[in-house]
Amino acid sequence: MARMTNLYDVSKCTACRGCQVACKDWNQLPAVIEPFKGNYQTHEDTNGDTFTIVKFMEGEDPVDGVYWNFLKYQCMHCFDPACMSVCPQGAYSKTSWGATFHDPDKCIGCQYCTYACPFEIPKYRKREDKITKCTLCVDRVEEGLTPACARTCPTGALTFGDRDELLQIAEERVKFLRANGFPRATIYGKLELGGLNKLFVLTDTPDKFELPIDPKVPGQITFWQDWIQPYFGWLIPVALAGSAVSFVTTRILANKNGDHTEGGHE
Amino acid sequence: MSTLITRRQLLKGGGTSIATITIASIFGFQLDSVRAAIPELRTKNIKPVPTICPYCGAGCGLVVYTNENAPADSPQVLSIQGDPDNPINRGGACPKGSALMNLREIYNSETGEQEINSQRIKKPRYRAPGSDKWVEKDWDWMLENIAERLKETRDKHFEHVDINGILVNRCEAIASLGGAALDNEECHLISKMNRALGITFFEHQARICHSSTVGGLAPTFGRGAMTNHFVDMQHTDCALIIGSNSAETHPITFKWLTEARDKRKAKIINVDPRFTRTSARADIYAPMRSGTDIAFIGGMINYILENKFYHEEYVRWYTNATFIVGESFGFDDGLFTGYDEATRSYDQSKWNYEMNADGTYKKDMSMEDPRCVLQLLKEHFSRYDIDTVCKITGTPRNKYMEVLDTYCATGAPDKVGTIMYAMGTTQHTVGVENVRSYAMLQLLLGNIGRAGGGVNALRGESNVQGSTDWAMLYHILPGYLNTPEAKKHPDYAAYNAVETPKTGYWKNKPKFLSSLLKCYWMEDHPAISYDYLPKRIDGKDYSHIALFEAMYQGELEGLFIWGSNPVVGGPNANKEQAALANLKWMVAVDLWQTETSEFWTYKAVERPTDRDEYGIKTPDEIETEVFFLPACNSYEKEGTITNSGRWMQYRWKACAPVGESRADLEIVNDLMSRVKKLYEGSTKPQDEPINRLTWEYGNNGHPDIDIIAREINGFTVVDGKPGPQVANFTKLMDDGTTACGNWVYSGCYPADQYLARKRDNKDVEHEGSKAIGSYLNWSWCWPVNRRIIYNRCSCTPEGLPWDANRASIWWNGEEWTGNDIPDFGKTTDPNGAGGRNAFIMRPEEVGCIFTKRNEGPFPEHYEPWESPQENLLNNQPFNPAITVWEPDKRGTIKDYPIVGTTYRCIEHWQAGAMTRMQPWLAELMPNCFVEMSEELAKEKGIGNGNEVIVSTTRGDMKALACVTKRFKPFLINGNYVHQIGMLWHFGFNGYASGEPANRLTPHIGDANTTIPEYKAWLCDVRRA
Repeated sequence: MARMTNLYDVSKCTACRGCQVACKDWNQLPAVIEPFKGNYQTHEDTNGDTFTIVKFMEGEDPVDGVYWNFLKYQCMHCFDPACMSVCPQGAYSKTSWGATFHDPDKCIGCQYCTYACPFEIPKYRKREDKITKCTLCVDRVEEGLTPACARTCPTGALTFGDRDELLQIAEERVKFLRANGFPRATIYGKLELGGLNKLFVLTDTPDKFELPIDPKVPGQITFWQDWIQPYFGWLIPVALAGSAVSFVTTRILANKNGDHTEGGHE
Repeated sequence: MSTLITRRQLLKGGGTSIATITIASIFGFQLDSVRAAIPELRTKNIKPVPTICPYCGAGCGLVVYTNENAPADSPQVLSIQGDPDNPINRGGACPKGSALMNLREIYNSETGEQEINSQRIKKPRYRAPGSDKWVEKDWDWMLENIAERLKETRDKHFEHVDINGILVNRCEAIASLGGAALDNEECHLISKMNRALGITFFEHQARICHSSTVGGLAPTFGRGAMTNHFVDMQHTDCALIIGSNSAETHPITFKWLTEARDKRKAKIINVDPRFTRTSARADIYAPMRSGTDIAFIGGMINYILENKFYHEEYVRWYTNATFIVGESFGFDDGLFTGYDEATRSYDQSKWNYEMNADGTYKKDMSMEDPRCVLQLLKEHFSRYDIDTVCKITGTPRNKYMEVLDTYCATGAPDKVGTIMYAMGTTQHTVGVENVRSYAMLQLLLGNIGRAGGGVNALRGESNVQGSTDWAMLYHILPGYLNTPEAKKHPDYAAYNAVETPKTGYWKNKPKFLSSLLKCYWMEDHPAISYDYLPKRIDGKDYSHIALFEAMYQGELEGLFIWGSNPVVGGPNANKEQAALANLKWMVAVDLWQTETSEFWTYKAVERPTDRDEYGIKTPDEIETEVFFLPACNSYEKEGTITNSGRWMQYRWKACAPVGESRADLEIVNDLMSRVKKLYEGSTKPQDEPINRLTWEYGNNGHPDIDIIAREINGFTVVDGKPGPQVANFTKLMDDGTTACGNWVYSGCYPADQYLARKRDNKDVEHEGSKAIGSYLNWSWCWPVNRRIIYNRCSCTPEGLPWDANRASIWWNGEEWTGNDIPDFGKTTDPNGAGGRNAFIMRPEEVGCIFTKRNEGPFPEHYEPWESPQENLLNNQPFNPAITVWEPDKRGTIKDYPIVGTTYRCIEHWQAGAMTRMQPWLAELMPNCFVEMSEELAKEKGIGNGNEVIVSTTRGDMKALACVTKRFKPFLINGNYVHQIGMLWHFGFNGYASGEPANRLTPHIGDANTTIPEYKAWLCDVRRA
């Protein structure tokens, strides 16, 4: 099956956040009500019950004046996902068409994936002691439907389809935008991290959308992938022992400190 | 046991964690099992039920997936999504539409379980005088008691004959408010009931949102409605979005504007005091101080006339630019001739046209006569030069020039521009003239009646177009017939004589009135039943502000509120809240406990400071009895609503009502049936309007939608009973042989099908042309399914399209044909008599650049009632024809130097009761905020997110500061003027709560329709 993905064109997005709510409707997610912090973007990041958010970034350019950039933000469904590499339970897998699927039945809520992810997307859901994230609506796509977010997008900023075709559309669009007032327009997700299964058309450089210009998997993860994994056979006993120690110590530490703030808990 | 490992702890773990990771390798990645683990599609094999979104006026379709096997009192909704078949949104849905499930059900944030939204009220509730709590009651007790209160008040205050001996049949002690979110069938019954009861204080949301649209468009074009429709926006070359934040308030507009930009390289211009989500997607953003639209547009008109950018042939044939105006018309220093300072009104006979001896209008087809409308227009706006305009509006000159050049280019015959507007335009003391200025601009550029053009009044409630058509307003009857005034229209013959023009389609008015009266009182002749209608006191104002002023003075005893929330949404909300405490009884019908239905609670008394300008009372001091009737939501019942583009679409029932909640249709039917029973047997002539009323809509309290729909469509009356339906309003008669609930809707149910139910979304494409998105077989549209009104103007005088690629209709040599229904005589030859009279609803039969309004025949710039700037164009302090209710409450820059305005966001809707009660929307906009520039924040020592207090002469309001680059101080006539703005959605109830911004806004209104000036007033702001 060909790779299927979303194309998100920020130049057409009005930040209505229909996608954010449609995602909640389809994925049966409760609201997470946080107070207003001086920005329309009420959730600073995704969380255990919010798989996708829209970021709002305002700024001023000496020539173009005020701008207000919007970015729908969620799991990038990387070709080579770090979350999958690090998951000790094998809860992550790739579908034949490119979604990074997380199986909650296998998840033990250890959150290694959160730290391994260059975008810190997988989030912890306390009430079930599990990780959650955008599923790319695998249940819908497997039945021939589009993901809830793309289905609801009123302006057509968000579309879903064959990645190669969407990439062509994105390239055309970037060309058009560059010639029509957005000289720094660019595609994001084509090559980043070896390819993302989410494509973006940006009207400016990625940093203006709070996206890492050159995202990287944290050093420890690549170290493991490049050096440890090839010899994992003889490392198994060490690993098992290490994991036992690691789990016990970190859990004790965690319970002692009661530090809930960084794991994306509500 | 939970696994709580933070990133920091992981990094601290160092080497051991890396080793731990290899566990994954042991288990391996089980690619084969992915499919098995994917949950099954929740909506598989479930047929969704189509509905229409209950929020803005766009009319997007949605589909409801339900679990039919789930018990009625438990969650039933699986998912609600955009309807892919609906041509308006094609599956798209904004956050409000996407959150529709929350109107009934939510996911609990503690447990994740699906449950009924606990904010929904499941049983009727009663509040006794002086009490601070609700008591649950059953429906029978409630409706019996309400009917008795109603009868008691009516009987006590009813006037059968006035002091002049005229039959007036009115009761001025009961008011009815609200209805813009109800179905057409419900509006029809409420309208009918209220008229039979004699209620004159009959108002609803249209007064305070778009009354100035009707007041501006109808005298210009003949009808007060949005001229085009949403799908049509794809055809525009340039959209001027002014006074609207349409990306937020009418999100689907950006589907079609995006399409226009992609396919036609259309430009989007946004004029707004603040940089919004609409501005973010516009090609040109031009800031403009609130309340200066006429200066802004006047400058455009001047630029067009000076440079001859107008569409000359169009202007010559389709407007009154050629008409000669009488010598008595004149203008000096902001006043037209005929002004009387004592009454603050004009003698409008000074502005008559010159007539030929044969009674026709005197014209100069060359448009060079100095007394012709075009030349007078040119003279009038010659003062609106670019520099003066920019000094008033605060728009940077270069931005204004960009707007001028881009938009005025649509005057070319093959170019079309659209104006899209909403409350930023209408809610001013010059609201009507703001709208007029847009309409005139569009006539000059030849943009009316054409695909991609129009004056598109974006209506903000799902059925506010319908409820306006249903005349839930004091001054009109259904179908835009004026309500009778005692002296002016003492009887049926006098009404017809005074109200019927000799030319234009309105000459058929007696047929519409006669049929309406037959619909109400089928067994009586219209000449008799005319007197059953309440006649209002001549010239008396019963509109929203006047209604609350009367209530504040204690003149009203009872109030019905049909889904309306004036304690949040009314202007000068402190005063309106205080007024409610003077009522003897109030009936509130809603899904939730709104701030209005709970105005008597302790929560309602809380204020950020000790100031109390209007005497807000505590529960023990309030003697008002309150009856709360729980209504069901839009997909728990069935019926039709009419969108802003006049499409009448059907909503099917998808779920059981929550608890004991009932459809408004059932409530009004049940109530009126009980009232009729109470009056049964009365022989008093004053009770005839009730006793003779035709009120039979089916059994068991469940009125039959089809019976009501056929009554709306109209039928021939046979032996005092409904006979066969009429095809449309052309078949209505003035002799009492036909009945019709609303002539505008005649044609919606011509035979055996309610056309609103039509769901064929194949576009109509006439041979040899391109389809233009008319979708004539999708639902039904008034008038008689015409999708773009005034479409005769889409053709040259000879009858061929100005632009063949966007051809609406055309003359084929024998008749008008094409991709839309002609808004014109089907066989009227363009080269014959009246063949170019494109505006059939005007007596002049052309578009009126010059037309009589209470403050003059041309718009003139007047500053808002409260303004930081003296008028640079004349010496009038504000609109000379407005009524000033509270002169002592006019704030000045000495105490209140900042311009204040209110607005909405996409995540909430109107007075907020609908959306603040929904967790999915509350999380997107949890608090009320005040947006202000970085410059002002610095001056006032306010940080982003700080609590601030905004004050006006009317009251205070606390909210959070949103300090932003998107608001900038305006350079007005050499001085910097600050403006701030805030959301007006908030009140004390709901998952998202806050203080109502309308505690700040004034009781002041437009000179024609008294729409309140919500959008420009003076205030100050400080840290809380």
